[in-house]
Amino acid sequence: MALPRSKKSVISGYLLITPSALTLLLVVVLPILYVIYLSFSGFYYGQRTGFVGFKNYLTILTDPNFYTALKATLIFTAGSVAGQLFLALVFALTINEAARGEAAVRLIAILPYMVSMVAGGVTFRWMLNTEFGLINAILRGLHLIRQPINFLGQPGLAMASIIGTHLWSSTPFATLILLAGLKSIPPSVYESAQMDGAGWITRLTRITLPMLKPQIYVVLLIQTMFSFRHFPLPYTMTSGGPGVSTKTLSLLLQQKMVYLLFGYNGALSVLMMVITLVIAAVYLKLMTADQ
Amino acid sequence: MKKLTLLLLLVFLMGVPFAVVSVGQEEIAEKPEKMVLMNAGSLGGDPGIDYMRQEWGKQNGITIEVIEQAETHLFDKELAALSSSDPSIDIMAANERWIQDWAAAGWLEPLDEIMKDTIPFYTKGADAQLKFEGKYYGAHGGNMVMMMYYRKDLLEEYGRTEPPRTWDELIAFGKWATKDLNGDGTIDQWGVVHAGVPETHFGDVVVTLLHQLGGKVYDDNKITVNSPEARQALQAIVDLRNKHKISPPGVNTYGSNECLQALKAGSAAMVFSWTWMAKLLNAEDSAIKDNWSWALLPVLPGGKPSSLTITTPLVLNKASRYKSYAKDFIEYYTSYEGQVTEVVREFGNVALMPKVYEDDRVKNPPPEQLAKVNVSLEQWTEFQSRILEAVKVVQIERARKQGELDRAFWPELNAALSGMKSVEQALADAEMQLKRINEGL
Repeated sequence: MALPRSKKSVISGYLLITPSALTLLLVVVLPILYVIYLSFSGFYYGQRTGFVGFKNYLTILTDPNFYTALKATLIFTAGSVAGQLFLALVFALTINEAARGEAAVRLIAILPYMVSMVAGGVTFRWMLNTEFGLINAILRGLHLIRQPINFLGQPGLAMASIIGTHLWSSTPFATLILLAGLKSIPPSVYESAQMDGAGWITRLTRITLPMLKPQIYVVLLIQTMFSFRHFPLPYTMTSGGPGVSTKTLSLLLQQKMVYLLFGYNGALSVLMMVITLVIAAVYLKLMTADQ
Repeated sequence: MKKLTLLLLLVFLMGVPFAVVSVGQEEIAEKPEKMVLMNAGSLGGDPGIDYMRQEWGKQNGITIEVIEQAETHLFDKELAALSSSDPSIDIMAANERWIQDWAAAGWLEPLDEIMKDTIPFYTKGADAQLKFEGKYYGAHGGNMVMMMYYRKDLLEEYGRTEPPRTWDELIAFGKWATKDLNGDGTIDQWGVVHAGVPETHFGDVVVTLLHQLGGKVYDDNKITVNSPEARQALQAIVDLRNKHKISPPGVNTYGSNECLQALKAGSAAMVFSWTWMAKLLNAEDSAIKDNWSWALLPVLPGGKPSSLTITTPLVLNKASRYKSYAKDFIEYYTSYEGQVTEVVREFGNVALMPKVYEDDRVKNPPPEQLAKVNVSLEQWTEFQSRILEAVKVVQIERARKQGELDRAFWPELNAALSGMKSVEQALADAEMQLKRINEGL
């Protein structure tokens, strides 16, 4: 008996998405489930020692290091995301309004994004060095300071330096997204506004920013997730110091991962995933509400 | 029929991994064409082991292939291989901090039979970290000791010929040497420099001072880090930066490379560090060429001379298929004879065998070896005699999870150095962290 046409199309639809669904299941869902399973297991140097219930979670939640690292991660994420959004907006608007050489400016703006973060981190570490660093030498040469600044040796400054390097490295990505958004705004909208006597600030606040909201949310969402689990810059620039002031959750994870403590790491990863999901859910809710 | 074929295929597929694993763990008696050694860092920086693996290879007709593994990832790479019983790496240059745990996990082959002739040569206590439950699982190969490098020209200008031997002498010389040389209002020559960043050797400097006073950190997992000795030792070094102002403010961000840079640029009168830097200091681009020497770290009031050692002992992977040949090479490299070759060929590497320094081959190395590091015989003799002083007073602690304990310990010391915590608070926090690790938390 032949199947009705609608049923056939449903089956063929399912068949078409099966490879993608299976791939997602294999590379996303199963690893996540496996990590959750590991988080309830004890490990000794990579050897599973058995089921331990919530012990790994309790260990983490009673460890002062976790809260210190969480605080450092939140500061780093907030600073990075706010800074990236602001700078990306400035760069995107500048590039968009450039009368000539837009392609060249765009290329130059994206150059830092092409540099490996590890190489960038090591380079900035030397540039920010108190005694041998280029930045202190320039500041002293310009008579802006008398004594060198210990950029990476003071808690607040160290975090600011890492965030600054992160902005240098990641802002181009956000700039490109916002630039694409700006390009999609029809010029006729600006022309009408201009004819109605709207100035630059009015056009920015009444047209550009509202129409750029979808791209702004994308930048916020992606950069929050990236920054929250960011690893290379604190690792290469400060190793988490001074003290543990720039020791983020990713650094804590790496420190334990070295000892193949898969249970502890599984639990920490699950906690990080939950926090990221909560943040992502807030953004998505805001996006949906806006639409 | 189809079902039966499918079932057979499934059984076959499930059997393959077990077969592979069992073949991997089987020892092969036949002479191999090659064995694999995982080295800590590049062979370019380890001419001693490079020479000996080639010599041993020629004598035995076996090539020793080397994986040049960056030290920062040596632990995880070796751990991954050992924990998965991977037989592809036979010999590993490990770290003394790891041997206890790896032996306890059953990943290492005991080396007692090749160690019995070597042990009597070791300085007192040098074998502590190589042993687990009465058996030897590692043999010392490339080692370094903690020393104080100093500028001889500055010392002479200061009016002395001997380096500071006490902490008070160090402070006095350091204060004199800390200067603004070009009059721009900024210090460009510092008294004392050392690594201070949480991940490097600042902890080892503090522990050296602590050992001078008879204190311990975690020997046999008894956590005694929050002791009067530890407080005195940490306070002494913290004061160099924060009270006496003879260490640069940025010293809390310094790693080994910054120490080397300070030495080579001539911007430090004294530097506490490991001996590996020595081979670079008489290079043409060094500002202190022929103007430096080293000595033991000056002694704190009430203490006695001490030094610490960092070692890369060779260990044998239990999953290796060529254990007898691998043992033979380990013995060749770590025996008395091997260590003589190591000291002669690799300036800055240290044998934890005092007798090696009395050997004529070490006292009078071939001129080409001296030429390689631009060192005269007179300088060589002075350097090696000071190393011998250190070797004789080396103190070693042994603990399970030692690497993990250190990683928790160092940031607290850095917090004190950075002025974020008092010495008392930092050590109290360190004690709490170390105890948590010991309790499996």
